[in-house]
Amino acid sequence: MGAFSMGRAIEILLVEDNPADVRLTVEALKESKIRNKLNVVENGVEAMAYLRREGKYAEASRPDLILLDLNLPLKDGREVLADIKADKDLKIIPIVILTTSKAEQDIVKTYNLHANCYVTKPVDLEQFITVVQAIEDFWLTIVKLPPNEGGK
Amino acid sequence: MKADTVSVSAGGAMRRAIAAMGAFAVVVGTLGLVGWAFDFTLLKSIHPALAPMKANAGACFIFVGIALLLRGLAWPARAAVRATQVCGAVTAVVALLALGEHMFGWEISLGQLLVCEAPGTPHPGVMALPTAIGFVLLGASLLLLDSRRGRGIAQWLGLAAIIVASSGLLALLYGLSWLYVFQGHQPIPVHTSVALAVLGWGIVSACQDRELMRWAKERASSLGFGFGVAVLLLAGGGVCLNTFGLVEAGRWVTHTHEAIEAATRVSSSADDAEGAARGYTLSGREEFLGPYDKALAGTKEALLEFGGLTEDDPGQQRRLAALQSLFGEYVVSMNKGIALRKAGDLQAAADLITAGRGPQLMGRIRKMTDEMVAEERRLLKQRAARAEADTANAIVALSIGAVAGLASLAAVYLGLRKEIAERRQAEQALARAAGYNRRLIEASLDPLVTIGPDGKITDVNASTEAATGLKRQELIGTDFSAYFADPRKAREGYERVFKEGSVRDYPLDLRHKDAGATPVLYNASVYSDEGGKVIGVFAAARDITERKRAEAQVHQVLAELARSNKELEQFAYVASHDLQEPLRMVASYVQLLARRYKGKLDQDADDFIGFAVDGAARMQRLIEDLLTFSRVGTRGKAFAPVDSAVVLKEALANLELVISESHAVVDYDRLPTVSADEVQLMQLFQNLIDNAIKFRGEAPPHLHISAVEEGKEWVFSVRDNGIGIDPRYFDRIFIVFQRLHAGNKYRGTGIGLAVCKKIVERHGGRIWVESKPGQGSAFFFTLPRDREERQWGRLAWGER
Repeated sequence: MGAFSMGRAIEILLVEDNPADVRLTVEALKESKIRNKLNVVENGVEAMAYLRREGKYAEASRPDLILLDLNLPLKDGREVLADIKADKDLKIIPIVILTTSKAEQDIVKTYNLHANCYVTKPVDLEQFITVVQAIEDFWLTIVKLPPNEGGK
Repeated sequence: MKADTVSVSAGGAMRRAIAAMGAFAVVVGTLGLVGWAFDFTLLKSIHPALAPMKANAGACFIFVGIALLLRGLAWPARAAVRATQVCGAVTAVVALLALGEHMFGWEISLGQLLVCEAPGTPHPGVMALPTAIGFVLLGASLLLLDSRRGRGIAQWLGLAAIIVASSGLLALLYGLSWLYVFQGHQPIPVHTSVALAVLGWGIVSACQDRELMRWAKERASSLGFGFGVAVLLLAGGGVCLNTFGLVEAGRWVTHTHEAIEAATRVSSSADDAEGAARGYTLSGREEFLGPYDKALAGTKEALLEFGGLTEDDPGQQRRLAALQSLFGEYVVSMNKGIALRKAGDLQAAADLITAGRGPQLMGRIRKMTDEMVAEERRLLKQRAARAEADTANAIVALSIGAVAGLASLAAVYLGLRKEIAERRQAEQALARAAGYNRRLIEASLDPLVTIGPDGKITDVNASTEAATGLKRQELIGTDFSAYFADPRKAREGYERVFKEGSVRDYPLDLRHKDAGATPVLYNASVYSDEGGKVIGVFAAARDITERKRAEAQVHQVLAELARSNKELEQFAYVASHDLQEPLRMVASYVQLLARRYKGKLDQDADDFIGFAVDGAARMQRLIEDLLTFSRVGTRGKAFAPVDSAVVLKEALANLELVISESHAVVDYDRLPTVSADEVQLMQLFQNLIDNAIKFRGEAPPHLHISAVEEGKEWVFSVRDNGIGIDPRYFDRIFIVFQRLHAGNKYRGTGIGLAVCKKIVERHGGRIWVESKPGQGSAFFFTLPRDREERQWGRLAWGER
C-alpha cells in the first residue's frame, strides 16, 4: 500500500495553460479511486511561485506529484523542469511530463533534465483516462516516495 | 606467291605509260623476229655493221612486253596477275638458259629453234651475256610484282636492268671496251639495250607504290630534265668521239696508201736497176751505168720509206728485213756482173745478170713486195670496216640519244606545263577557298580571333569588332588579354591551349570598350605551319549571355519549386500537427459526452453524439495520414545501402497480425541490396503488402515479391490474387485520399499508395500497377542502381 492511503487527499500540481485540457484531466481524476486534490497553475512562472510558496501561494501545500506540460506561456515547461530539478528541496518531487509532443528531441531533453517520466497525451478519451489513472496509480500507490515534509 | 592486288591499280596516266612501254617492247621484239624470218638486216640489226638482236631476245621482249601491256590495259586483276607470272617465268627460264650457255658453255641454242643463224658467229642464236642478265632480272621482277613484299624487290631488279642496258649503250657509244668485260665479243645490240631499259623502267613504274617510284615521282621534272640533258650530252660526246675516230681512220688510210706506194716503188726501182744492168752488159756502153746507180738509190730510198711507214707492224718489218737482204744479195750479184763486163768477160757477165742468179733474185724481190702490198691492202679494208661500224654506231646512238633526250625534254616540258596549269588552278581554288573561309569567318556570329605565340592578336572577325567596340586595325598587334575582364585568367587559358593543344568551353568575360562585358565560352586550339611548328592560337568565343540568363532562370525556377515543395510539406505538417490539438479537444469532449450521457438523453442525442464521435475519429485518422504523407519529404533520412530482403522481413514482422488474421501466404525471391532510406523502404513494402491483403478476394491472399535488374534500375514487384483494379483507376489510386471503395467495406483513408508513390519518387523511381478486376494485381516500383539518377529524384523535392 502507498503512503497516501491513510485518508489524506494527495496533492497533484497540474501545470497546463489549456483550460480544456485542465478540465479533461480533472474529469479523468474524478473517476479515480484515489482521493486527490488537484491544483492548477497556467504557466511556468506561476508554477515556480506555487512551489516556492511565493505571493498568493504562500499557503500552498507541497504537491506529491507534478503533471507538467511542455509548451507553456511565460516560462516554458523545460525551464520549469530544469529549475525544479536544480532546487534541492523540490527535486525529489516526481514530475510527469504530459504533453502532445511526440518529438524525440523533447523526450530525450526532458529525461536529461531528470524528468521522472514522459507521457504523450493520447488522442482518444478512453485512453487518456486510462493514462491519467495509470500515472496516479503508479506514482501514488505503487512507488515508494520520500515523506512529504512540506505537507500539513 | 600470294597475289594481293595488281600493283598497277591507280593513276590512269601511269597505267597508259606502262602499257605504252610494254607495247614498245612487243613491237621491237616482233620486228626483230620478223627480221630474222625474212633475213632483213634493217630489222635485225638496224645497220649491217651492227650486232643483230638475237631471236630468243626478241621472244623475251614479246613476253615481258605482253605482261606490262596487259597490266597497263587494266585487265581483270586475276588474269593480269596470271599472265604476268607466266610471262615472267618463261622469260626467266629462257634468259637463264642463255646465261648457262655463256658461263658454262652449254650447247642449247634455243634461239636456233626460231631462226637458223649462219654458222661461224659466236654463240649462234643466243642473246648476248648482258642481255641474258637483263632478262633474268626482268623475268624475276615480273614473278615478284604481285606480292606486297616482292614488289619492294622487283623495283630494284627493274633498276638493275636499266643499269645493265645503259652500260651496254654507253659501251657502244664510247667504244668503252672495259664495259665489255662481261660481254665477251658479242656486244649488246643498240635496240636491245634501249628496249631493255624501257622494260626496266616499266617494271619500276609498275612498282609505283614503292619508295623508288615515289622518290622518282616527287622529282619527276628534275629527273626528266636531267635525263634529257644527260642523254643529249652523252650523245654529243659520242658524236665528237666518233668524229675524232673518223679523222684518225682517214689518217690511217692515207698512211696505208703511202706504204703501198713505197712498196710498189721498191719493186719498180729494182726493175729499173735490172734493166740498166742488163743494157750495159749487152752493149758495154757506159751511159747505162748512170741510170743503174740511180735506180739502186731509188730502191734503197723506197725501202727506207716503207720501213718508216710500217714501224708499228712487226709482220711488215719482218718482210722488209727479208726484202732488204734479198736486195743486198741482188746488188752484190749485179755489181759483180758489171765488174766482169768491164774486165771484158762478156759471157761470164751475161750469165750472171740475164740468166743465172740475177733474174732468180729479182723474182723473189717482186714476190715479196707483192706480199707486202697485199698485207697493206688487207689492213686498209679492215680499218675502213671499223670506221664504218663506228660511224653506224654513232649515228644509231646519236639518233636514239636525240630521240630519247628530246622526248624526255618534251615530256618534262609537257609535265611542267601541266603542273603550272594545275598550280594555277590550285592557286585559284586556294584563293576561292580563302575567300570562302574569310566570308565564313566574317559571317560567324561568334567573335573569332587568332593570336600569335607572343600573345598579340593577328586577326579578328566582324563579331570581335562588335563585341569589343574596337576596329580591326585597333585590335591587331595588341595583347589579347587586355580585352578581358580578368586578363590573368585569359592568359592562363591561352597558356593552357599551348600546353594541351586546345581548350573547350573556357569561361571568360569579353570587355566592350564602353558597354560592360559579355560572358563567353572560349573554344581554342593551336594551329601549326607546314612543318608542324605551332605558330598561334585560333580562338572562338561563344556569347553565353542568353544561356546564362536561361540557366539562372532555370535555377531560380528550380529553387522556387523546391522552396514551394518544402513550404507545401511544411504547411501540411504544421497544419495537420496544429489541427490535432483542437481536434483532440473536440474528440475528447464528444467522447466524454458519450461516456457520461449515453442512454440518459433521448435517442436522437445518442445518435448525434455517435456521429460526432465517428467524425472526429475519422478526421483524426486523416490528419495522422496527412502527417505521415508530408513526413516522407520532410523527415526522410539519407540513402544508404540496405538489404531489401531484411527490410521486407521487418515489414512482414510489423504486419504479422494482419497476415495471420487473413491467413495470407507471402513468399519472395532473392532480393538485392539497394541504396535507400531504410525506414521508408520498409514503409513502402508494408503499405503495398497491407494494401494487397486488404483488397483480397474470396481465396486466402497469396503474395509474391520479387526484383529483377533492368538496365540501370531494379524493378520490384508485389503480386497478389486479390480483387484487382479496373485499368481506369490505375492513376487515381496513387493520389492522396482517393479511394475506390465506399467507406465501410475497406478500412483506410486512401493515403497508403500515395505515400508509396512519394517514397518511390523520392528515391528517383517510378511506381505503377498492372491488373485486371478479379484477377489480382501486380504493383511495380523501380529503384535506380545509379546514384546520379536518384539524386535528380531528390532534387525535385528540394533535398540537396
